[in-house]
Amino acid sequence: MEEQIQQVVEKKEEDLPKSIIVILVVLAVAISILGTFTVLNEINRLNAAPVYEGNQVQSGKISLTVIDPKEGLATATGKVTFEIKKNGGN
Amino acid sequence: MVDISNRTLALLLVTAIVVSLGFTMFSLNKIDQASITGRALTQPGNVTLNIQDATSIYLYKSLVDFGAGYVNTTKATCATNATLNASYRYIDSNDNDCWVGTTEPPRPTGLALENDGNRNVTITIKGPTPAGFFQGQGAPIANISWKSRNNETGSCVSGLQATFISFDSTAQSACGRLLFTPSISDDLAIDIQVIIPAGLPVGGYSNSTIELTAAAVG
Repeated sequence: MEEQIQQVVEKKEEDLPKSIIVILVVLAVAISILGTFTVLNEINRLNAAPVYEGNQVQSGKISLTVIDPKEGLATATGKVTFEIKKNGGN
Repeated sequence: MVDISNRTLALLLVTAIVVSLGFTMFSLNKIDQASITGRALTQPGNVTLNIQDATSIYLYKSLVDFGAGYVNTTKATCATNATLNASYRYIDSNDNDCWVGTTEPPRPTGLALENDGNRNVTITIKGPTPAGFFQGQGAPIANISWKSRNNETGSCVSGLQATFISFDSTAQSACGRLLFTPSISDDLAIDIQVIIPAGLPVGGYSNSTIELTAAAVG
């Protein structure tokens, strides 16, 4: 009889403490709530109507570049013309 | 009733956690794959449609580039400046071709925007002052100014700025009421005029931005 009691006591000592069970229960509840929340959130996101976001402000640009008129004119060419006319007297 | 040991309870709880996580992942996966696969068995149905207010403009022509050139002072009419208009067409000093380059400069037309929202809007424009644009050079001749124009008939029904005025770095009203509908009357153009003095120092002249802003109006 004493031996049996001893065995029961030893078995109880081997069992997990209640604090572990409490932690696991809290964890299970938290994960369940979080999972439900995530799924509902995802469903709401899918159901939400797409919102058109237009542009109230737009930007433009004006530009010009002034160049040197003589740019690229490293050489210049000229022309001289003359005409020799026959002397009217000869 | 037989008492359950803590070890067994722990095992059950761990199983519950795993099952909960598994189903969450499964649900999220299924939601992502969701698509319409069914077919209505009955024909009548209700459709509810909510149209939201949208105040929006689209500047589909946002660059006016006069290119690279110089004032051709060999022409008497171009002795002091070149006056370039980027309007419904490009006009160079009353078509006297005063702005020339080693290659023919581009021939830009004005900025253009569309009211692509579903509200009538006012349009304001903010751009650089002449001194800012020309970096303090070329005063008092150098100038940059703008005017607004209906790019489609009847687009701007009030407050059109139809004559050129200089930018002054503040928000200036370009149109008091630009329609959003019909789609053949919702387009506004902003014409740009620059007066380039002869003898302006060589270099690039541009603004950081010209800002067009729309605000809903009745």
